[in-house]
Amino acid sequence: MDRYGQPDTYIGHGRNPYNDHREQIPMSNINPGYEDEYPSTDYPRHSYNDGGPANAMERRVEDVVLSEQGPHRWAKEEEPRDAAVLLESLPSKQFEKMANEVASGGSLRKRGSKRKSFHAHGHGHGTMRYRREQSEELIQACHDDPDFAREFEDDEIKAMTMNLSHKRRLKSEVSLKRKEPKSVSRWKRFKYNCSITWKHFKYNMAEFGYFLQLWRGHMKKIEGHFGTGVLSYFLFLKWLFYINIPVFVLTFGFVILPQILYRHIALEGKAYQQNVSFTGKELLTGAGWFEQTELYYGFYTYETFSIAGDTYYNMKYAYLFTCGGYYLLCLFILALSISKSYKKNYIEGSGAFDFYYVSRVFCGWDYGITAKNAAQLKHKGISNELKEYLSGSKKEEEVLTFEQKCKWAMIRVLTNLLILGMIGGSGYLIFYISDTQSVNVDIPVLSEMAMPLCVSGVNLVLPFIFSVIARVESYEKPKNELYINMTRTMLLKAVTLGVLVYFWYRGLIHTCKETFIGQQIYRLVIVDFVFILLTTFCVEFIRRLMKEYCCKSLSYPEFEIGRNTLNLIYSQALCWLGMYFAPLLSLIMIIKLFIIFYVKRVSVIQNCKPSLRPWRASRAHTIFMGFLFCFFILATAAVACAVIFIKPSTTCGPFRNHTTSYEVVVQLVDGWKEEYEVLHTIVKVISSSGFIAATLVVLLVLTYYMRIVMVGHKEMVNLLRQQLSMEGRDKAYLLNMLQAANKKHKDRPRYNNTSRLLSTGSEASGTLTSTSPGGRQFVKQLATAAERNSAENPGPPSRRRNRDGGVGAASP
Amino acid sequence: MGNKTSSFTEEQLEAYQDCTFFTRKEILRIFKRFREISPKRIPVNMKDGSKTKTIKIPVFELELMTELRENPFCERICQVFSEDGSGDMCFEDFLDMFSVFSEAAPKDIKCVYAFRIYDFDGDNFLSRPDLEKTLQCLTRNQLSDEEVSFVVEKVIEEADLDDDSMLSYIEFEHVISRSSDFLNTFHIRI
Repeated sequence: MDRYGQPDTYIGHGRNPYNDHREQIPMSNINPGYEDEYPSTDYPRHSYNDGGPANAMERRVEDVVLSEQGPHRWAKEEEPRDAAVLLESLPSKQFEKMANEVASGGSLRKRGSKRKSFHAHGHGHGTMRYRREQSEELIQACHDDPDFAREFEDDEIKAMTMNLSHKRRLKSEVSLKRKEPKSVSRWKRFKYNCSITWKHFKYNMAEFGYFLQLWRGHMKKIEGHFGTGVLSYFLFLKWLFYINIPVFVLTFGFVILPQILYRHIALEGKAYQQNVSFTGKELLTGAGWFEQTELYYGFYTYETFSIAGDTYYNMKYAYLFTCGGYYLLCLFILALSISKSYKKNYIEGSGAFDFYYVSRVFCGWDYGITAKNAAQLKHKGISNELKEYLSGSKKEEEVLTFEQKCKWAMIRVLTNLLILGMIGGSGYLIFYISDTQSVNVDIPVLSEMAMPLCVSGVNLVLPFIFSVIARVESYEKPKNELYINMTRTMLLKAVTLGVLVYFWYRGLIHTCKETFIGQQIYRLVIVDFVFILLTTFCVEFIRRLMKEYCCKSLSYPEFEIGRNTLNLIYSQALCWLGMYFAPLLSLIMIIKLFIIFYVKRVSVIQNCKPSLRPWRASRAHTIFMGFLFCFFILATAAVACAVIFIKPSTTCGPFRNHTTSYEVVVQLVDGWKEEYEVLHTIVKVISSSGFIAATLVVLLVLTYYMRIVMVGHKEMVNLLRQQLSMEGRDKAYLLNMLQAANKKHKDRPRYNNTSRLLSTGSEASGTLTSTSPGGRQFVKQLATAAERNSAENPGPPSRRRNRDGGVGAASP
Repeated sequence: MGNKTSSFTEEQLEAYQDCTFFTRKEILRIFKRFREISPKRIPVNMKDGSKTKTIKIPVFELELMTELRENPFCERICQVFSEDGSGDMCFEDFLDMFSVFSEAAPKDIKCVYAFRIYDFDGDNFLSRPDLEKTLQCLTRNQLSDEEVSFVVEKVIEEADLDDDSMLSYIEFEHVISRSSDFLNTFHIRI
């Protein structure tokens, strides 16, 4: 160990293992004016036992010294120790040293700060991975100090950046120390036992959750062949599948099962009272045999019946409150997901557009790719992207004249009007077909299915036209074009559904309105499913066959992530809309999603090839969640309208005797007036308009406040960044000055080193300007010269003597 | 896979569960995968404590693994996660590697290892040669030298805060944590 506590890996005093294999650091890195050869690209395998900056610097130093890179312009005459002392005295180095000392169990402080300095040391300050010595020190610290060991939580150990075997040893030390019963209060032992039980519970839950991991092998294969873009579609599908399961369980448990029991018990097991027999086409139309089954609202009873003995089951409350329950559950899940996604992608990633090149270089490669052709395409994709961006940034932006701007504005306005017109037209078409319900075709099923076929047809054809129009508009960024297309498609779908809902609520002449609405939605769901299968078949399968057997000039189909995900969102919105009118729809949705997964998975692997263009999965995910949330709100609003305003049919369903379905709730609350007066008053106050208005105002104020805080933080971040870059330049300038001062004092060898360092010479050597490389480089230069000198000089002892002697010499 | 107690002791499994982000079943599945790479070298019974640390698979066999085969940084990944830096990994290194690459690992631990992987010369800084090498691995030499150096310049311009033409870990982490794609792409399924 030398004087400064650093291991003696200095100048090749023989056994330096790093001697021969190091890459040559080009001098032009350190010294801007220097011309040297391009460094060799021979990257040796390094060991990882050290890695602190000081050591690295010293390694570099001897590299340069031992290499034959020619004379250094810089400071040949410098005293070697100056540079090292200079380095050590920098405050950032002092902090690391202090953390090191604390880690070795040295001096002072409470446990909390010890752990914090470990963490700071490990994560924040340049040494990122725990060196072997540090791990040893940590383990030794645990061994010596049981209290320190007990402070470790399990999750902390997982997140530490050390080798697994070191972690195991640390953990065994920690658990050993924890088991020692002495000097631990009962409360702490209790807390520890609780945490162990909780940990075991979590592990058991995780094991159980392992079984529920659906489709893991499929996902891996898809990711291997296509990357994370296409995988995001399948993950979204799986997530929707998972949402529908608790909804179905709720509905089944509280609504469908009691109804089945009622039918068996109260009606003494009579079969469905059907006048029609079951033919195959009921699966498509949902009418006929299905009408008098649990599939539709109309079949459910309005009675309060007893299932077992004295307990009574009120079907009205069950139906309405289950409905409210699963909408609330979905709202909760969606709100959580969208806020998490937004936070991850937009808030934390808010500066990301500044870091275009960095994110392409460091986050560009998809580590999940395992197929050779996918990897080749990915390499090509990355190169193309970089080249495009390079050529884009090199080219100057053409400034549009006023005329051209006007022209483009006109074009945009026109196309938007055109698109709105098309959407309006399709809405009217659907209204007309629903109204007249007549299409003169001989095939019997088709006349009933006219409306759903029309809706699905419109949803298939118009988005394609939209994308053609968007290409005419020629947006600058393809990203914008994509988002605009998606917004227009979703607007179209929302308008079609809105028109239908309006038509149904306006006034139907059927005897059982809700069953009719349920049927229509069932048909929409089935036709949507058929269309998804057909388009998969035609677009992907047929095209691949054509490519292989007919025209070779066609390209392989690519999987369109955007269009497919929007279709999924639409299907789910249909399901949410129809759940009130047809409770079994969630089961149908589950089966539908299950089948779609396998169809799409087979089709993708067999027919498609990966795309060259990158797909920013995380950004797109937030946008898709946004669309889903919008549609959920719209669907819930539509159902809420039906519940609160529409008069239920008088001949069927649980609410046949009320003016509105909501009346049930009002009656319930009024019923509390006698028994639970407090509850009644509370509910009355909450539902009064004044209270709701006040809550709205408070929420708005809160939102505004959050926004102000966010704006303030953004400005602060910018300010700090500027400050940081200024600090770097200040550091360079000051070190520069110090070097000049040292140089000056070198001419007077009587003076000791300490005074040299303390004095601040006023002249700054003109060779370093303020735009030269920053502090670290500068210090390396000093160290460079320093080491060269020490190689020539006799050795440390003489200098040390000089230094020691020098303290006294300062005072006259 | 067999009985779960046939390859590891309870204590070993519990220790692995505590030190990585995997559950027991996943650990056993990873061990099965590990054995598949080189069945002759790895015994079925790893209950003897030192075997998990001493028996290593050499790097040229690891690079043929499906998960790593097409990865341009596979050699570097093996070097980073192996104990001695040579690329030969024992089971604990292997488990460690997949734990860091798993979905449950938090962003900061991934950042640390990503930095290590891209730091080819091991000096705790991403200097120009490191960045050039990274780019060349990424694009398989499809960019010209001039384009490579331009991109490297741009990267340093974007990320370097203290003007030393290199990226330290702090600067790297500052930039990468802003990127929303990092967690998605720095992820290997096993």
